[in-house]
Amino acid sequence: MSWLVLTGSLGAVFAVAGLVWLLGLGKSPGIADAKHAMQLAREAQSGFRPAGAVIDAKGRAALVRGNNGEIILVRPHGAQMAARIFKSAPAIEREGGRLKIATGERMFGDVMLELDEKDAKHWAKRLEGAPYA
Amino acid sequence: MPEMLPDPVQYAIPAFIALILIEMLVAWRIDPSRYETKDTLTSLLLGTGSTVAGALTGSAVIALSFWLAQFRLFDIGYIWWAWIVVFLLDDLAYYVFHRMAHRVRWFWASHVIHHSSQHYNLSTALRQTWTGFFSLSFAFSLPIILLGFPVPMLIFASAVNLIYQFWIHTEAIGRMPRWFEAVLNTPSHHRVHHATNPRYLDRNYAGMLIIWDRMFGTYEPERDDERPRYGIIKNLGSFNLLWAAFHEWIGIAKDVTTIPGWRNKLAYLFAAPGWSHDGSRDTSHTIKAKWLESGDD
Repeated sequence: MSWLVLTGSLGAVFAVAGLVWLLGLGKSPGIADAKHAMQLAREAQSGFRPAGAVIDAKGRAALVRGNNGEIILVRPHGAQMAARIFKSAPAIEREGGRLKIATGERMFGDVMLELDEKDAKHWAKRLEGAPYA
Repeated sequence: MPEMLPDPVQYAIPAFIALILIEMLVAWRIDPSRYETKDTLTSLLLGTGSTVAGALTGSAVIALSFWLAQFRLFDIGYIWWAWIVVFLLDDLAYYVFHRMAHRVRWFWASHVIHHSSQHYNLSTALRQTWTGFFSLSFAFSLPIILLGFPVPMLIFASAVNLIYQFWIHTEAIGRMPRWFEAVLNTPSHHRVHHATNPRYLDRNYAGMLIIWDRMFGTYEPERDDERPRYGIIKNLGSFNLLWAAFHEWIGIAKDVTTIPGWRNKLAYLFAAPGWSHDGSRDTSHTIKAKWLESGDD
């Protein structure tokens, strides 16, 4: 493989990706409501039985509680969704209704939810007391 | 070095690009969620990286193949029937390799890159391994050389197999005619393979011929009432190229260096992806078991 071929390939790669952007394909989906969040959590974890959910005010993330108390975090990833089930209590920062959850994975990143203050308090407590394996 | 046959992949690249552009336009009209800018960029850059890795290591694999050919059992030349047999054997070797790539973590670490997109389109097909040489994936084809098939013939057959597998990475094609679906790998069969739905998990390992899955009990048809969800069990949530290429190798290194006991260390290398010494993670078997137990559709 010559440098010319490599440069040409990279040019074609960026041109194709640029066309995807120009066509406006793959807009980031929001999480519509609690039912949607629970469906996403079920799809993310086989056998998961959702019992309740809370959604970020702009639909950018959701927390879903299972009937055994376990908690799944769902957030958009590009035009799809990515989820994490917590195996241990995550580090949490709460400021009023803003709940910042550290997933412990640098590549997945931390996730911020804007909730009403009562919900933020309630879910922070849940995250601290969930039955982690 | 003996004379090589032309590389058909070089000739197929313009067609790959043209088909990606056509599929993008179809997505624009029908379902814009099929493509996403960062995902496409990641897939294509991972494909470019794979080509670079192949260029760096390909000559070593070819040299090894010619060296091994000295010890061949038979002297099969470029006779007409040898072409048919080599295509069949190469496709069978691909099936075995591909099944191992999903059932043995060592090979999965190299193959996972191909499954790391949550989209299923023609750009996903180009998301190929960077570490195939390191994981010794090529070893699955070596018995064909020992049988006595010419090395250039085998390389040509593998290239044709690779080209065939490009067009099946699409949601733009529903199902092919029944006779075609019965014998050959198709977009429908391969959508199942890329899906993480418990019903579809670790099924349809075929390269060109779906008959191997039918013969060895790993075939699962796509259902109209269950849309495939693409990606991996623990989706990356990141478009970082290096993470996509190496995350499972990093996971192996962490497990092997932190978990005590030689048996555990070996299992973290060679047991099924998702195996853990304390049962805290899920393999495809435990996922399927939980799904069956839950009674979900």
